[in-house]
Amino acid sequence: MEVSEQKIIKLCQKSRREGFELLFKKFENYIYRICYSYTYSKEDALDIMQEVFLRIYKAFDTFDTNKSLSPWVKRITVNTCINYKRDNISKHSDVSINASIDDGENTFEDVVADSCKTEDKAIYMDTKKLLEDSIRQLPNEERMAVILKHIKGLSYESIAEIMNCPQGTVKTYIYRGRKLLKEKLVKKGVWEV
Amino acid sequence: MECKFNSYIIQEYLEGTIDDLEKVLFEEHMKECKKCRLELTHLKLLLFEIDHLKEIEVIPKDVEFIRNNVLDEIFNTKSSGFEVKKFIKKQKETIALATNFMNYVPGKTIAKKGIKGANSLLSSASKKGFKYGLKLIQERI
Ligand SMILES: [Zn+2]
Repeated sequence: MEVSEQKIIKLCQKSRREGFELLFKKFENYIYRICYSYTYSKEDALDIMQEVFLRIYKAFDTFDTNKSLSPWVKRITVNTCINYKRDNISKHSDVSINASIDDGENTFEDVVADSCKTEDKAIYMDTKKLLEDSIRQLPNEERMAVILKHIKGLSYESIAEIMNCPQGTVKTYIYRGRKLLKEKLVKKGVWEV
Repeated sequence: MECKFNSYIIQEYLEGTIDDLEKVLFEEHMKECKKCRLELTHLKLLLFEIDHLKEIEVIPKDVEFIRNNVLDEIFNTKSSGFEVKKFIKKQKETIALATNFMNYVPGKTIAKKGIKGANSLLSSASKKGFKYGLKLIQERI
């Protein structure tokens, strides 16, 4: 049964466990996906998610109860990701080849075996992996803006709202992010014929 | 031939937000400039790749684990049952009061250390050894 947002808000205002449980349940998939796209690591994503939950709880007093929960939760999520310590993320980069593959049903060996059959697939896997790695190496704001634009498919306007900055700034982040990604992939020879 | 078109303008061209006059100039320029043509091609290829990245579909079970742990930690259900938040608030008030008081007492440096020690004892007591290292709520309140 779907509990109304108003009911959740009321429970949370009373600092009731059920309230926060419902709130977390309502948004956890969304939160996890953003965190995952941002880090490409399950551990990091869970670590950030945990922090997001705590921040939601801690900041609930500041939530404007006349507004809807979703943009507020998204803003906290995005903020937490951006402020997540970079060294926490980079230590997982050397295992990311597994991390980017094991999300599907395929094991690493399956993918390797498959990609040997068709060279196209190997190239595709390579580019995808390189792109994910390159996204993860972008500066934090550029990275988040690129993810929200291209993976979430959001408009500049929505991104500006979530990232709490002017649309022009979002555009700058995205353009700069793409430029860096393009340079990286060119340098790696992805598009050489 | 000098090239005044940077990546920013080329991306505006790609998104169709480029100014009309600039668009004409850029298209003319591209006929002559190999660098800009290549840049445009690379950006197109990048957009193709990046728009094909998918969000993760399968949400791991650990999400539930994290949620429950955070809730347990916040609401302290595993111990005496009263809320961590209130408990910590009380503790902080007590410590603040004690610190104020100590300012008027001789030898306050040592005494303060004692108070800080009590404070960190509180923090280690609230640690439950989370798998993903739940940071102390206390630090955040
Ligand atoms: Zn040019």
